[in-house]
Amino acid sequence: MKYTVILTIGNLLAGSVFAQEKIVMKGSDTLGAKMVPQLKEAYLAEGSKVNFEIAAEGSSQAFTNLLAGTCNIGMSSRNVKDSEQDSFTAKGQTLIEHVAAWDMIAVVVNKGNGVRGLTLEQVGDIFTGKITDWGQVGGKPGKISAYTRNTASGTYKTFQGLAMNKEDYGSSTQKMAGNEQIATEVAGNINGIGYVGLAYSAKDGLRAIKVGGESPKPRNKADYPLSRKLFYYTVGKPTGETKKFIDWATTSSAAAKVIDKVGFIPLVEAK
Amino acid sequence: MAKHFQKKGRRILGWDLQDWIKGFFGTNATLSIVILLLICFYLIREAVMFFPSHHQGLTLYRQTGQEFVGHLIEEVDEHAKIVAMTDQAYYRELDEKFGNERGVSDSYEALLEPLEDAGEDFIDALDDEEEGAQEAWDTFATKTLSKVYKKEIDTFNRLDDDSWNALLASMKGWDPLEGDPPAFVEEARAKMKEGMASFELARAEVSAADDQLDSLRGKLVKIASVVREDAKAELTSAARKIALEQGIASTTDPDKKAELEEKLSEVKIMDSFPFAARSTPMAESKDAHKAAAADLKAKLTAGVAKLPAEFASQPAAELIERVRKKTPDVLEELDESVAEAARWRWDKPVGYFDSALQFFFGRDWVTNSSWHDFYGLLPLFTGSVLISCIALAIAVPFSVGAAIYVNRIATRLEQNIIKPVIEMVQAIPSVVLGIFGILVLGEGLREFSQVEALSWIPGFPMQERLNILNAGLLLALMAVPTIFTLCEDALNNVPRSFSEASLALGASRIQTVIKVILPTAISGIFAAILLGLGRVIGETMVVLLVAGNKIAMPDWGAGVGVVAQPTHTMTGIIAQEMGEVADGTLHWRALFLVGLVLFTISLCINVAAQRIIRRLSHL
Repeated sequence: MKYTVILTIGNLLAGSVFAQEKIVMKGSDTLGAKMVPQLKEAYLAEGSKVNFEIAAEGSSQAFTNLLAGTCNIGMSSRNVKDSEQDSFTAKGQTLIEHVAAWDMIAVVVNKGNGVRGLTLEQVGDIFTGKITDWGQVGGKPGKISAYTRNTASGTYKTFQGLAMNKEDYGSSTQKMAGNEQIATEVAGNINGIGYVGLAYSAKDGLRAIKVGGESPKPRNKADYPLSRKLFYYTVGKPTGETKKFIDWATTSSAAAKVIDKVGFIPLVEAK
Repeated sequence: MAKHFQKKGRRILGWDLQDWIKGFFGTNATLSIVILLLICFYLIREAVMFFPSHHQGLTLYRQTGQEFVGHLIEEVDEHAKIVAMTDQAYYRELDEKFGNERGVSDSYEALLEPLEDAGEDFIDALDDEEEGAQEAWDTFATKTLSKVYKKEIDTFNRLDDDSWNALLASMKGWDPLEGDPPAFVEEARAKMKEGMASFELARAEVSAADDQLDSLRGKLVKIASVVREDAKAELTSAARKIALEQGIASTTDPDKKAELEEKLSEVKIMDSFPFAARSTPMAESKDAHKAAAADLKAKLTAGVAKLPAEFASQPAAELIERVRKKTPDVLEELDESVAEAARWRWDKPVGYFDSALQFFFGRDWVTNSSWHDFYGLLPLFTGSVLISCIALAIAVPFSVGAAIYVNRIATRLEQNIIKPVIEMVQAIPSVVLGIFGILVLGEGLREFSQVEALSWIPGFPMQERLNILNAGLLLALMAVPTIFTLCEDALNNVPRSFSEASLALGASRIQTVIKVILPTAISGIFAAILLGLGRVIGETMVVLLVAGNKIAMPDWGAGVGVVAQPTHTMTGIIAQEMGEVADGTLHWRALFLVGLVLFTISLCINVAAQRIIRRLSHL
């Protein structure tokens, strides 16, 4: 008797779970580590009953899983490659791109240092160690102290790709534990330079310099060289719960607030 | 007495209490020896395995042709050093000759920022408005610029007040829609350009000398990277195939099996990777490399010859002097490097000895690279040694002096205060000391070093607050209790009769200490210092937090000032990187090997100290 009751309750529970629609999201670690899980929480808090499964193993996974039909939304921190696009075309499918947010890295120097802007090449050369003195780039002469994130950080790799042409960091760079530590060291060192998420660049004593003539402001996101788009990909136009979620995540101000909080730039203004 | 103990014992399992106690301590001792041996075995096994993998890595580096490209990378970097000095000289000279004009030009750029910030919408709106646009702009510019401080904009105070006011005035009558700077700024720029024309030309020539070499480098780096990726995939495919086959054998789920079989069919195994064919682009670039190097040589020599001979700025003159001196050295090194690169062949075997040499004497520690990982111990070893030397240099006089004072001179009351206080220092957790080092000592040292009157001290003013000196000072604090306590023991061991005899012969207290007690206790003191060194070199938390974590050879050119530079240590690197490496990879084994080196150093120090103490007890 007791078992029957438990079984019945179990069946009821299981039934209700299966009745819900499920959104499977796979791909980029940049999106999937923090932003999407927090978006999910906010989305569920608004009363949606949908089930989420999120796996973040790298952008390439987004496309292999979409192709195999094992996920609804692919998360990617880069555009789809031609070769990946081809395999969808070959199957007669179209891949639809949705911009999820912008990722922007600010290059910061000490306010006492006269430098207000550098070219992208100069920024790269400073971190690979080819430029070692501020006198080389028009600042007050002094040996440059370059602070970077440590190897565990995703920004470490992103910056390497965006600014340094994937070359290795110079041996004179100093590896710091986080954004805040870089900001503190640069603010205290007149010859310091570092890179941080946009949210950290407003600290006292810091100046977020122009890179390639563009200042790191949300309105310049499309032109600033150290910014990149983060994407959701779907096969064909999204429908049902998937469409609802993507619409909410890309246009609602509640989602924008979450995106802003994790350090990315939302497409719409957060209120 | 013995009988008394024996009689009382109640026997359990045939053992009485005595036997149990004996057994307990015996087991403990054996167990600790076994554990120690196990740790040693594990450490040595993991560390020694580094050499075969490292050798394999170096072989791959050669076979893919990366080694050849590596020469080009180094040559381009060497050239960049000449360019760096020339550029610095150029800007110094520019500042000296045309400081005011440069101030105008830079301040104009800086002024655009607040205008852009305030006027984004304003300028957009201006497009539509034809009538009175200029007046509207002028009102807006006057209003915005009235809130701007000269100190903020003209950071280096290059401008005099007249030029500053002229610049502000020129921003008013200026048409922002055209985008060209106002005439006043254009004039200043033209003047700078004209005055520096010949220097600028020579500088551009020096800078462009490596164009040919650099483009060859860029091309070959791309090719070699692809070869490397392919070769790596190939090398791991055999292992993947075995893993998949094992997976298929062990699973019973048919779906899973099918999935694995599909994956298995995708794994391609060639008998051997066609290194010879794939590295041909590199082999065939040897002549192009020679030509590019010759081109660099000709252009650089010509460019350097064109650099001006007379300078308004003294630092610029010195820099160019250094450029002239260094250029022949760089060109000589270039020749050697080209010759070395020409000798590269993909199939020349890498010697095991070379591989070991590259670890112990390598100057680069580059991990997680998309090009090639380098594991060179030297910068880490140097960092550890430098920090330890500073710590000992500070700790030894203090602790030995304190020990002598407390043991021989101090009153009972002083002894009762000094001894516990020094020993208390040992109770501070090292992480707390580290935080103190970052926030208080580091910041304080840097502030202190900024004092103008002290700028003659080497390394002052300090740029970094996390540096060798800071770490050395904190470690000195940690070493003092160890050295002090052991030193005091050594002094206690000096027979009383020695000092009494000396005093009876009329020697003063100081004479007795210096001539009789110190020589007698010297080996004990030495052992104390060695154990202090052991304490310092193995310390991790403080150096990780305070040493600045820069993995590079110190710049010895700074002389004693080297202590103001950041560094990294053997202990620090293990703590920092162990968390991120996958088990069994080359990087992981490299860290184990660094651990083994540390272990060996500590062991030698301890053995040496114990020998010295043993000799002392025979006295």
